[in-house]
Amino acid sequence: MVAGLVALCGVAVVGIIDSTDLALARTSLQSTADMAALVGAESFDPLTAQFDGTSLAVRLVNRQVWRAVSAFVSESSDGIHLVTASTPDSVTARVTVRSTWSPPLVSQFFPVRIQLEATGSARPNIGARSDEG
Amino acid sequence: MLSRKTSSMSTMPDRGSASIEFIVASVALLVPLVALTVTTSQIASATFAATAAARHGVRAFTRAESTNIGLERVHAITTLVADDHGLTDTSSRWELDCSRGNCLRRGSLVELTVHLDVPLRFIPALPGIDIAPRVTVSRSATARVSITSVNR
Repeated sequence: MVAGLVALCGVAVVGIIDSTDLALARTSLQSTADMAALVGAESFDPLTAQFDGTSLAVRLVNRQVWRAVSAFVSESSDGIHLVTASTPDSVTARVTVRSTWSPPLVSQFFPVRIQLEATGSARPNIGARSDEG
Repeated sequence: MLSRKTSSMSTMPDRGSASIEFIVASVALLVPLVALTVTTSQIASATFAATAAARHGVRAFTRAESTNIGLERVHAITTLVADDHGLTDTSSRWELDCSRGNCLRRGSLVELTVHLDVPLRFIPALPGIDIAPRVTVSRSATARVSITSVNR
């Protein structure tokens, strides 16, 4: 009975460690997606900026967003792959990244591999000091 | 003859106390498990703290007006995050890695790596060694300095 209790507790500890690592991997992936979205939001061509009397308006292009975000992800993150990087409305950059997670403990007994995805969005905000770029 | 001995042994009553044996065995096996759980939770907490400090620290640094202000922000964020996670006896340090010479140059990639040294309370120090056992947890985050920054 004691051995069974200890075995049960051990399985619980292993499960908690693995789930904690999964949460950390998810947080890191979301952080990368957010940072990449900020990079995508600044991929506009400055020469195309137009002043409408009150603010400076820029337009994002899918090809430029992809190019800038792809370079950022490849340089900054190991094991993270870019899935999509586009601008659905020409003012918002939307980035989706993916990584593969496997449990740090007992992975040799349970070779589980989980695909994680995270999406981040950002808009250019020229001259303003906020986290939206 | 043999069957008679077996029969006589099976009729002998068990000796000892099951409750005492259960308690002794439970304590002997569960105490290390509890120590492992507490140690693991300390490391996990430090890992969460290092992740948050790296993520927010690099963002604050890349939006700073100068390098000194950025370093002050990184220090403040690291200290605040460690306190929030209850890591009062944890020492922290960090490293900045910039893709260009000037970290705050527009378009520069900045990587912040935060290291947290976690003391392991339930693991006794080795005899003759004064240094307490510690585990170093490291996490990194990367951000790019905005190309529209006006303060550089």
